[in-house]
Amino acid sequence: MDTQLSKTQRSLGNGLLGAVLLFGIGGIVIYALEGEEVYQPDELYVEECGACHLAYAPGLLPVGSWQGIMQGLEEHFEDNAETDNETASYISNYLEENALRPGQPSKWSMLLRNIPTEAPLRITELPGFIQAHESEYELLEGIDLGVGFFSPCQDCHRQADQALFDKELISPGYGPTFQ
Amino acid sequence: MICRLSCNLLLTITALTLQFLVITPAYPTEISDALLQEYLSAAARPFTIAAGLETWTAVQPNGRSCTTCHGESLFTAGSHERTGKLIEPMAPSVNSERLTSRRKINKWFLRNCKWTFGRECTVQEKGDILFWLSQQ
Repeated sequence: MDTQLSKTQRSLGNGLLGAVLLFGIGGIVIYALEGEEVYQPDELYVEECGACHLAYAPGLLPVGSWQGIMQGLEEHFEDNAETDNETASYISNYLEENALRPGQPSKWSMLLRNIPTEAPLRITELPGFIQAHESEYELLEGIDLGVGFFSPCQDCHRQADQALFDKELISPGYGPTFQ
Repeated sequence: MICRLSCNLLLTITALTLQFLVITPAYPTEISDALLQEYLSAAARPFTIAAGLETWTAVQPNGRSCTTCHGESLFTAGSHERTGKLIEPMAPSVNSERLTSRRKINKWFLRNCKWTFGRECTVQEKGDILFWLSQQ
């Protein structure tokens, strides 16, 4: 009887162990597969564009916007951001390849909503961006925010440089500073 | 008599050496030396520390100067006028990455001169600034 019971216990134990291992290994496999999607910005892009501001993830703007930006680097939002042709064409390619595209799965596809044919150059002017920040606009109603108030994403989205804009990651206590 | 002469000579040499070590510490790099040589061949007069400082701090009609973004001190960080992004100190004595890349020096001279002065800097201006920076 005792041996019978221990046999059942053993097989039960083995079964449980198997399930736990399967679950664990399955998790590792899924993690590894998903790992490919981890955002890794191009080094030259971060060095060139990130010298003056957050190196915005290419997937935050459609191709047309990036093209417009790259064609006007000498007058880049009232700053001079010109660079040599080789660097400019490398960065253009990178931005266009990874841009926000209709019909392509993206966690930011809401930024494509109601987008005009000629997309704006600023992320903050995309109708989808304004919609996503509706409650912030409401909170700040009546205050003169000035141009570029919403531009430093990292003021609230502390992991913006890793292209993480999830609501859950907004750290309480941080936020844009009023002048 | 002989001793006095040689002693004086020794003292003078020591004083001169000390003065060189204490008063004019320099942090040029191979790159800054090479660039200064190139600039010099096209400049009207030799580069000076005073002229570098003057060019760096001169406020332009548009209200801008190099210090607008780089700050009042070369030894502490500045910040981008529009975006607030931190700009590491310019002095090579506290930031050993400065003046080590020809590409970066050329890039920032071009961009920042156009933004600050509304035109490209002359070889004289670039040389004065670079020479002055290399002494900081």
